[in-house]
Amino acid sequence: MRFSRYFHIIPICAVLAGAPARAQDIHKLIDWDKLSPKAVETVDVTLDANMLGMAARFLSGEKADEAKVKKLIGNLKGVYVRSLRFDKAGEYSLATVDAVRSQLKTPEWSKVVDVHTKEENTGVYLKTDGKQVLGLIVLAAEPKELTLVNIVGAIDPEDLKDLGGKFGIPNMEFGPKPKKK
Amino acid sequence: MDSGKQMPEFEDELRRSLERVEAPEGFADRVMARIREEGARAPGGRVIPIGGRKPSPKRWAAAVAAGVLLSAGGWRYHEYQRGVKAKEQLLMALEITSSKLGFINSKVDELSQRTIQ
Repeated sequence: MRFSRYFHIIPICAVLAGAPARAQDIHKLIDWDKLSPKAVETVDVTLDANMLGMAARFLSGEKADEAKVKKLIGNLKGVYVRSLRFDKAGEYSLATVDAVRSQLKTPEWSKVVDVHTKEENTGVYLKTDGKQVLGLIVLAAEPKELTLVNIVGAIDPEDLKDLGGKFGIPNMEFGPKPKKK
Repeated sequence: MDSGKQMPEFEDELRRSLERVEAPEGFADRVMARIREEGARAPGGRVIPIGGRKPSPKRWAAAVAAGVLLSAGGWRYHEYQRGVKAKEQLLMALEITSSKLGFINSKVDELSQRTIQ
C-alpha cells in the first residue's frame, strides 16, 4: 500500500510529542501570557548564555561579592525566572503546576525537596549526570504567588549559599545544621 | 525747452548702453573649461566642487571614518545598556532563587524540628 511508507513516521511523531521538554524550555510549560493579566506583579528574567556572558563582563572580578556571582555564572547556559504575584488566591490551577512536575519525572531530574502544605506546594529539582549538577529548578506554588526558576548549566548550590547576605539575597543553610554543643 | 532737447539724447545714450554686445567667439567654452578646471571659489576661499567633480579620497576617508566611529559608539552604548540590564536581571534572578530556596530551607528545618520533638 502506498501509505505504508509513511507508517514509520507515526512512532517518531509519538515519541516527539511525548518527549520531555528541553531544560531551557521548562518555563514554557506554563502559559504565562494567559496568567500574567491576572497578576499584580510580574517578574520575567530570561538570560541565555550570550546575555549571561554580557552580564559577567559587568561584574567586577575585584569586588569579592561580584566575583562570587561571576564564578557562579561561569558555567551556566541560561537563567530563566518567571514569577507572578496575585492579589487573591486561586488565580491559577494546580494542573498548571502538575504539568511542570510531570515533565521532571525523568531519570535525569531528581527531586531534592518537596514541601507540601495546605498553602504551599514547593519543590527543588536537580538535573545531574551522576557527577555534577547540570541544572536547577525551583517551583514555588503559593496561594498568591507562582514562581518558576530554571537555571541551566553546571551549578554548585553551595555557590548560591555563598551569596547569602549579599545583593539582598538571604543567608541560607543547605543540609543539616551542625548540632549545638 | 532744454529738457525737451535733452531727453532724446539721454534715451539714445541709454539705448546704446543697453545694446546687446555679442561675446567674443569661444568665450562661453573658455569659461566652462575654466570652471571645470578649478571649480568656483566661494567668498571664504573654500573650493566648492561643482559639475560632477568628485571629493578627494581624503574627504571620503574622513566621512567613512566619522560614520564608522559614530556607529561603533552607538553600538558600544547599546551593548553597555544591554550589559547593565543583564547584570540587574541576573542579580534579581539570584535574589528570587535564593529567597525561594531559603523559604524551602526554613520549611524543612521547621518540619525536622517538629519530627525531633
